[in-house]
Amino acid sequence: MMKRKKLLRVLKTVIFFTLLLSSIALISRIVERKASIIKFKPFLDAPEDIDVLFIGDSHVVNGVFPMELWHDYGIASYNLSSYGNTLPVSYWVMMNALDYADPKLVVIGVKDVEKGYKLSGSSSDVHTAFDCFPLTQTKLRAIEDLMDDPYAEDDAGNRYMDMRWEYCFTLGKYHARWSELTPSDFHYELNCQKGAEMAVRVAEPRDYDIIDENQALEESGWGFIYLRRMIEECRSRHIDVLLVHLPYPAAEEEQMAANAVYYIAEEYDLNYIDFVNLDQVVDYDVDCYDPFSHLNPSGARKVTDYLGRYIAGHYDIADRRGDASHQGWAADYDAYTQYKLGYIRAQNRLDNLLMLLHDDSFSVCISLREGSAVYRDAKLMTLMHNIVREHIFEEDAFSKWSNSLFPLEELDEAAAQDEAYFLLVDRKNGAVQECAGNSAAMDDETSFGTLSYRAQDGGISLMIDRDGTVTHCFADVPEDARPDAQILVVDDRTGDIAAELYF
Amino acid sequence: MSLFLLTAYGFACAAVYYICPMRFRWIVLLLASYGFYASRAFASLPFILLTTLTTWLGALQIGRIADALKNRLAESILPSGDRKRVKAEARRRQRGWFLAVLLLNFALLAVLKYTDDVLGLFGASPLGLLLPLGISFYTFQSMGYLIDVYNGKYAPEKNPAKFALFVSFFPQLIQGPIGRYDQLALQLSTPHACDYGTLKRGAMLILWGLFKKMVIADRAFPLVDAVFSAPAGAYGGAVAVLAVLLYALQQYTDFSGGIDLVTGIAQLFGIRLAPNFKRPYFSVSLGDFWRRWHISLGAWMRDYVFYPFALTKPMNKLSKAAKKRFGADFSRALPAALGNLLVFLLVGIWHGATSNYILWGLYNGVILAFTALMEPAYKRINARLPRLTSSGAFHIFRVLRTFFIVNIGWFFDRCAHASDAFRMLGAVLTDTRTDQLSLPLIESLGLPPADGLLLAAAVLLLFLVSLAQERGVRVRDWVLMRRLPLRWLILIGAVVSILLFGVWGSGFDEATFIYYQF
Repeated sequence: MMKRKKLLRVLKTVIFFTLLLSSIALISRIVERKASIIKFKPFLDAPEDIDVLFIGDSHVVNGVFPMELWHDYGIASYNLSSYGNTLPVSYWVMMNALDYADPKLVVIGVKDVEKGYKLSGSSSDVHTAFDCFPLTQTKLRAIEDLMDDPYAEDDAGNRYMDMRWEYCFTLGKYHARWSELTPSDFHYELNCQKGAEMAVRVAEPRDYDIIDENQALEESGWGFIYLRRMIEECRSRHIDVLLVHLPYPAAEEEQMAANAVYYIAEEYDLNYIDFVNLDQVVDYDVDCYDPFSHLNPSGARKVTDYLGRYIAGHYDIADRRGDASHQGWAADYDAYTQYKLGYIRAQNRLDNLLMLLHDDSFSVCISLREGSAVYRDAKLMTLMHNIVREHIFEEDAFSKWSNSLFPLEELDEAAAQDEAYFLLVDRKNGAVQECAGNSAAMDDETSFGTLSYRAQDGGISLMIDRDGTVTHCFADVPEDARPDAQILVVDDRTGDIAAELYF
Repeated sequence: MSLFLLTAYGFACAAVYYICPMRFRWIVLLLASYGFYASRAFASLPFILLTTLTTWLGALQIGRIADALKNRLAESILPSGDRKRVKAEARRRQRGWFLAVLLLNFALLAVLKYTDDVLGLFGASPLGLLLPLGISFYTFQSMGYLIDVYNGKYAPEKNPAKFALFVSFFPQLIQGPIGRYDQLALQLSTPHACDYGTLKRGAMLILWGLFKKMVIADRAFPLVDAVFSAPAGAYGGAVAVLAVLLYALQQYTDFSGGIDLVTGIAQLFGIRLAPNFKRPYFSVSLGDFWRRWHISLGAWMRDYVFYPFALTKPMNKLSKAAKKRFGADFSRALPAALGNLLVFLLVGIWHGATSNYILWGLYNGVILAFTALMEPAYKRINARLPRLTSSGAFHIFRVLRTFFIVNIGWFFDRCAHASDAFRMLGAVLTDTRTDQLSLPLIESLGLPPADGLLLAAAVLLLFLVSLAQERGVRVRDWVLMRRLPLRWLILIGAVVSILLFGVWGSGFDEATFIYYQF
């Protein structure tokens, strides 16, 4: 009888603590900041899919779009980079990721290789980099190693060493969010860009000068140490490594640090792309999100295209587009395209919209009225040219550079005459048509129907006849509005008009 | 050490305690206590050891002298005059030991605790002397023991390790309660068997303590700190009233929450600590309040200061002299009134040798002295108005009146200088600025609306629990008697509430108690 009573008590205690721990886990999940889940869960849900991992800091987050690599090259990749990552953090993100994935190639962003500290001042960024990874020995080692300096503090003055346990049990960090919870904490959308993030804005870049490649910093500090550890770890696992320094208007010392990586690449016989020296790939005037400069989607697509072609040409990475194992990626790409369309539809700034239209997924019609303000804005004019600008690759950089820079001749003509202008970019057919003049007309068979454009009396008429169904575009624009620019965006997957916008 | 770590430490030590054979259990407690002390304040170890050793040795010597005297008197038949002489000689030697140890320890406490305050009075820079962890509490506890041994209340402890455990028992080291040797020492050295019910009750008390401290006290803290640290004139009387009310709440839940926590931890070992709070804001008079607030300090002061002072020969003489001039009632009340003045002056100084604490002590002492002197008059009035004075409304009036009096005192307790307290009280009377009581300002002071609502809900819960306790309900027993699903819901809800709504994590040391500094 006593034994049974004791057994019952033990059983009850076990059930009680199970319920207690489950409740704690539940509230922990509810109040957790969702950035890490949103970023890493898609990776952790199917790590076996991934052939290429991109690891680096915010420049890589904003600068490499795995879904574009998938669409254009069939490369199955994931961007594991996070804002504020130092190379020591990148090393441990990679180590955690390699517990689940078996990639063929790891692409390492080497920006800030010269930094002497292990962690940036933003403890939230460090949380984003690790929170979603399960509490394993690797994660514990990461926390132990990254937070071993008793003097390292975050921006709020809290010692990282004291915060170590909060990286194991995030409730300590996030419990105070109970009063900040919003519906998005319960219904959140996971990252549909395979880890990348679009940073939508067109900024003025800061001035910079490219220095000689031979000017290099002496190798010292945690960044270099952990870069070597990453390379050696990949080597030990027979994973190829590509080092990249993504483009931004780098200061002299930053370029010198990046130049030091040439010696490491040489020592390990690795490929190293320093985009700062390849300054033809992006055009900082239109491709910068901020002055320092993270890339906006226009710049990111150029870099991604370059990297896709480079990876396909230099590494044995399979084109997975036909593989049964990657069937789900087509749906992922659809979701990604929808996501991009959402951004396009939400734009209320013409410069941002024009920048986003540098995108092979969408056909575009743009009508500028006679006397449009666009003609008098050099930045907008450059962004107009940028819509159809070709991507530049290493071997043909200089031959194509000048041709591709300002490809819209009629646009310049229209601007000079202050006349109406119409541009058709039919990406599916690979056609670019333009016409200028206050009573100009264009009739063309496009991938999305028969297009008929007329400029008359300062206004325009744009009709699309698709299988007998005629659509009068911009029917909702008030007659007296006389917008400077009217833009039609067509989803090339379906041929449907995805957005009509005017400014 | 965070409160969670302290709690975990308590549970871990309890596990080791019950795993160990019975005869070693007190040693586990001693090691746990010194382990705790060393981890918290390694540099303070020599001080607690010094107090422990000197008190143990002094008491032992006092006891030996008493034993020797007893033996001598028993062994030989001495003439009456010689007996008196021998007794006086023994008492003189005992007094020598007693005073030496007493003065040494109180002098050490005074030097370490008050040097900077005194230097500050003269405008000199502070020396920044180390203030050992829990020095006030363990010194008072040790000296209480020494006085009791000197007065022959009980025999001294012969085992220095057991005495060290009495001085250093880790749950009560931070902020008390101030234990008595005859109530605590035997509990510490006697092995306790593991009792499921005691463990559950201990765990529940820990949860309640954590709730009071982390959910209520630490959430009220930012606004209180912001207002009381603000430059002179920044806020009007309305904000000052809000701040002092929140301070009353913070002070109570911080201190009593901490006491509940350590009492619960002690209970995990089967040890009952002396009670330190008994719902003080339900008090009907200031005297009642001080019998419910920091009870162990009040009892210490009563036994070792108040009574010895009130029963001294000069007090007897004064009382007799007063009887002739002012009557019997007054003469009876006079020693108590003066005793209260002395006690609360000392209590004020115990908190700090600064003007605000001294005035706060005197404020309480004067009111209590006045009350003592007026006691006969009150009794006569009460006798004439029995229906009024026994009504519920009058009871509520007395509770509110006491709360009001106590809160005026809290201004002096919380302000850094007495002049600040006077300035804030002046603002309450002449410069209320009620327009400052706006949600944006309160939010800017560290209490956003959501936190305010949470605080209100937590205070309501605290009030209901206190009211039930006041009416004799044993809340923990009530919970334990519920059906299992409800019981578990309450317990899990308590843990989740503390984790979710408590103020803790990096950048905040929830283990810092207000009374830690005393």
